[in-house]
Amino acid sequence: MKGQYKAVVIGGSAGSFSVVSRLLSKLDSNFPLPIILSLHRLKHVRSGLVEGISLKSNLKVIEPNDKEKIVAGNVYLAPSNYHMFIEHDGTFSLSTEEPLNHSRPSIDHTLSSAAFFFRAKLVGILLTGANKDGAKGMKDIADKKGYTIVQDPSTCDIDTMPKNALRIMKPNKVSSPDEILSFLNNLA
Amino acid sequence: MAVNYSIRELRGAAEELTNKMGIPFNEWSQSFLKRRLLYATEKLGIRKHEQLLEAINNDEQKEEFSRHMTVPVSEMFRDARLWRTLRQHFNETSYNDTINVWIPDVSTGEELYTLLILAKENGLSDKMNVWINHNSKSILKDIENGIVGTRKLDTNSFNYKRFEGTASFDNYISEIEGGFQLSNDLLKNVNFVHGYFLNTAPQERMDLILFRNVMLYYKKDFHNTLKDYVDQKLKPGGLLCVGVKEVLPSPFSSRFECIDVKEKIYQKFKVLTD
Repeated sequence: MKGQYKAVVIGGSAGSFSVVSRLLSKLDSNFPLPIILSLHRLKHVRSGLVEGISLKSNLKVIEPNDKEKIVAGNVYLAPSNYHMFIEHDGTFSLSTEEPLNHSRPSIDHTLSSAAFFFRAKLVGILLTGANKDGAKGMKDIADKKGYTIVQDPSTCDIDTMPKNALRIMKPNKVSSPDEILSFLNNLA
Repeated sequence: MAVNYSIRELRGAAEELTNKMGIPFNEWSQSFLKRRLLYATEKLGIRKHEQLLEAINNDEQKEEFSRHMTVPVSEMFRDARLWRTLRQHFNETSYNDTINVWIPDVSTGEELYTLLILAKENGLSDKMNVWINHNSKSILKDIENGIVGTRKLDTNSFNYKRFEGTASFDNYISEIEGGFQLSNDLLKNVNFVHGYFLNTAPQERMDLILFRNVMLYYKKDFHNTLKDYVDQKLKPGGLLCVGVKEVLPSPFSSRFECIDVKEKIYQKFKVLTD
C-alpha cells in the first residue's frame, strides 16, 4: 500500500476527538502523507482544539490559512466557523458559505472536495458522530475509487454518523480505532 | 434544475459572465464559483449556461442572479474579540474629522449593523460615515430596512454578549413576521452604493476598511490586486481588517504593519517611504 495514496482525510463529530488524538499519538512521526481533519466543533471557540490535538500528536498539527498549500506529513484541522475545501490546485480553500448539515466546517464539503482532487489516491475515514454529515462525502470518495474506512459503529461513542454512511455506501473496511491505526501505519 | 459546470466549462463561463456583467468572475476561486453558480442556477431554475446568459439580459433576472451569487451567511459580532479591539482603538484614537469606514462587500449586512451598534454605544454615530457596496439592489434594500439574518437571533444575541456591549441586544431589534428587524435609528450617515466594489468605490479615503472573508473567494494571484486597491482607499494610519484565516499578500511590509495577529488587523503606516 506504500506509495499508493497521496492523502488521508478524516471526518468526525461527537466522540471523535479522543479517537483522533489516539491515532495521532501512535502514528509514525515520519508518516508520509498529509492528514486532513474535518471535525465538528464549537463555532465561537477558535482556539484550544488544535492545541489539544497537538499535545499528543507525533505530527505537526495546523489550522491552515486560506490558500495554504498542502504539505505531506502535516496534519490539517478545519478552522472553526469555516468550511474547508481542497481547491483544484492542491491548496486549501476556506469559506463562510452556508452551514451544511447544520455544520461549519462541514465534513461532506471537505471529503467531497478532497475526493474530487485526489480521486483514487485518497484514503477517507469517517469516525464517530451524531449527524448525517460525512456520509455523502464518503460516497464521493468511494465513487472516485478512493479507499474508504468507516469506524465500526459498535466502537463509537455515538454511531449515527457511521451508520448514515453505511446506509448509502459500502466502504472498503468497517474498523475499530486500533484497526484504523494499524492500516495507517502500514501506509508509512 | 441547475448547471453543474465541469472545470473546462467553468473557465469559459467565467469569462463570458465577466464580460457581460463587468464583475471579475474569472478571478473567483474556481471551486467557489462552481458552487455559487450551481446554487444560483438552481434558484433561478436554469439548466443550461446559455439560458443563464439569456436570463441576465433581463434586469429582474440579473438582480436575482446577483442576489443568489452572494454568500448570505455571516453573523453579527462574528469574532467578538475583533470588535472589542476596534472599540478600544476608536476610543484611544482622537479623530479631528469624521471617521470614514468602507465595507466593500457588505454581504447581508450583519457587519454593518455590528459597526453601527459599536458606534452608537461609544458616542461615535454622528462622527462616523459608512459606505457599503453590493451588486444586488434588493439586498441593499433589505439591509436598509434592517432585515438582517432573520433566523440568527440567538447567535447574534450570544455574540453581542461576548462583545460585551453596554446595552441589551433586544434594544436594537423588533419582532416582525418570520423574524426580526434591526432598528432604523442605527442607520446614520450610511451610504448605500449599488455596484461591485472594484467598479464603484467611494471617492473618500477611509479610516477603516472591513474586508473580512472577501479574499477567500478570489484566486491567490488576484489578492495583490485587491490589496493594492483597498490600500489606495485607505488613509495613512488607517486600519484594514481581513478575515482571521486570511493573509494579506506579500509584500506589504513597506506599507502596513499587522497590529493584531489573531484578528488580522493591519495598520497602514502614517508616513510612507515609497
